[in-house]
Amino acid sequence: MEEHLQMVIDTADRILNDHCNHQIVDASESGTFAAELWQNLEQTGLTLAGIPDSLGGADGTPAHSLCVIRLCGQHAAPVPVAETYVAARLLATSGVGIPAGPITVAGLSADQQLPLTITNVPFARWCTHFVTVQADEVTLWDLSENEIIEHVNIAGEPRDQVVLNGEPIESARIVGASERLERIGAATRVMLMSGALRGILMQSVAYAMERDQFGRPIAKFQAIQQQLAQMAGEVAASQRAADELLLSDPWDDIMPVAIAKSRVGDAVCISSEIAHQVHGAMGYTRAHPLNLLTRRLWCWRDEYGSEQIWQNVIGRHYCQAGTHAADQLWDTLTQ
Amino acid sequence: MFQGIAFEPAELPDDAPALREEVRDFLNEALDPTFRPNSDFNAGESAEFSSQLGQRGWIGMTWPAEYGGGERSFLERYVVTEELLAGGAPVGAHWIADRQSGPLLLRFGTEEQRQFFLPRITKGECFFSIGMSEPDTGSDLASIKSTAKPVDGGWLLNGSKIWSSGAHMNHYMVALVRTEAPSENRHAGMSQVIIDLHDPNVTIKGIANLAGDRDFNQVFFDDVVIPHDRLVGEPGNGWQQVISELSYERSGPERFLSAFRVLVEFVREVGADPNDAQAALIGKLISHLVTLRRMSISVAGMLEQGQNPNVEAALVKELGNNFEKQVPELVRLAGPFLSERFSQTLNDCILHAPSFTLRGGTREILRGVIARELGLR
Repeated sequence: MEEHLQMVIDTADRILNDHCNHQIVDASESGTFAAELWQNLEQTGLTLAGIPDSLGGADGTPAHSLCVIRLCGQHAAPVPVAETYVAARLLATSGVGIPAGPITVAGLSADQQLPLTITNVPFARWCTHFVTVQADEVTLWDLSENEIIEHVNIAGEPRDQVVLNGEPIESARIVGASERLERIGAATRVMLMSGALRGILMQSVAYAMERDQFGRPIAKFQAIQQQLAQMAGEVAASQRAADELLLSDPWDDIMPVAIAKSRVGDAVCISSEIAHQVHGAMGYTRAHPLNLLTRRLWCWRDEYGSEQIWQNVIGRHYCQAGTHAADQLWDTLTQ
Repeated sequence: MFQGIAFEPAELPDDAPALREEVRDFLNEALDPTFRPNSDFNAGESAEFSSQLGQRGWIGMTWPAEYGGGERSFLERYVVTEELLAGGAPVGAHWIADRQSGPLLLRFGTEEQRQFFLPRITKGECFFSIGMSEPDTGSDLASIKSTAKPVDGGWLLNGSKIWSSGAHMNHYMVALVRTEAPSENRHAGMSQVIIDLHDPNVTIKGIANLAGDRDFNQVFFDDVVIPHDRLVGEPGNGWQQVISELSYERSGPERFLSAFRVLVEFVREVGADPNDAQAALIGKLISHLVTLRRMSISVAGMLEQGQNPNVEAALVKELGNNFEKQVPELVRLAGPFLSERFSQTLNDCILHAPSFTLRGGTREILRGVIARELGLR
């Protein structure tokens, strides 16, 4: 792996280990922003890791940001790192300056007009700015001047309602902005999920080895081994599918994102099921950390398009050649 | 992921597209136009076809030139094998010799064995069967009873092997047999021997599978003399040698392409305008297939670097076999599709699907391998 990327990963890992734990995630779900975690990530440039230096970022490639986001997923980090990256990418490309602080982002349908009521805006209450994307138009808003009504998803993550009623700070155009938002947004969810899947596998393996029943660790029972091995397969496939997004930029390429969102989303269902089964009733309690990741996985798989939506995109792409599609399928797959 | 489990992305070499085209052109020429492709490597064998492949240099591709090999990379070999499988070519005759018997001899064989067998294999003239399971030995491979006792000039073998695909048509079998009495270390005292399947003391009886195909055999050894120079590697080292074959055996595209033709015929049936459920199912299957391919290519990359990716290979097979089994079950519910072509392909796959998670190590054994890597056992 490239040296700079490894350094970014190591730094992110250290900060997340130091400033993100069960209490901090719990507190975020009760409404307390993990300010120290955010500040450490922002000061070290990790919140803008994938944005070029010349555009106000920390001078990395998209892969740098995606790797940081993956680690955030593994730690259930309750900060808008994914949103800030997506927003900054849109701003940087459109030539709008990137403001300091956490930024959130959302897409609007083409016919929405002021005053704009936008639901499911991630972390809006803790963000200073908001980027909206409507068709090709990218607009930056100051959130302190707009109304925010608090809502959460089933993971306790802020998914607020924002009412935009004033003047935006600035607007600019990017060709295909809303499609790019969908792709890059889905890519962040793939990375968050791939990190969290890794996390629940590690937790499940560790738990199986420490939990004694019938006089031995449950890890020694084949029934448990078989389930965890199956889960390891799903997690390994997810990692590999997500890794593909480090090689091809989702900003431009739809198929790798579609394939990754589909494959990783499919892995969530079976992996979270096995993780909970292995953890027994203990893992079903709020006090146990497993649910911090599984509840987030159940949300992230639906954000920026469920696996079914992306599967439909893939299916239509491969069928478009009509009567020739079947005979060309292998050729298309291997190009 | 966990230490020891890694699927580092590997790139196919620059010549991959050209090589792919070469194989496709060859298949167009070599196969009868009425040939009905089947994506399962176990479904057809043709000595003539294998000999043609040998002439092209597509058997023993990664082996040294001095043994007739092509000195090409595992990634190039990957390209050729997946093209042959996707094209439904009748590769059964040479498949085992190319995939594992040859590499075994390269790694553990004597110089004389290599010089005798490998050039013949690369020419597509020398076919091998696997001799592992026995009537009372399946997943518990260490419980084999076939025994070779030292005699003047070699070993005297008695016992039998079962599920040996193609043994009735192949020339040799690499068999795992006991060469010492069982001891406390149940993995000790076994050796791999090369058996001439045309030996008069070898009897081969066919076993039909549930689809009615005659591919399986039980092979009986009744005082078969195995010359000293037909023992592979060190006497007593058979178990370790068998384990080392597994990453070749388990990671290839044959572990996830067995149902590929069902997907092709499904796409043909729905045409350019599938309904949402059909489009989504095609997308789901493709997202799994593409990911499996990438994982299998990663393993080929690791083999190329001289690593021994046993666990990754087990993961590819575990995931790939589950995928292969899911395809016909999901596709049949997306219909009904009534064309004969579709029905035949689907039904053929349904009849062979039970074997996908059995051959080359059952799902349960593979999961055991993976669980060990996770530190659970």
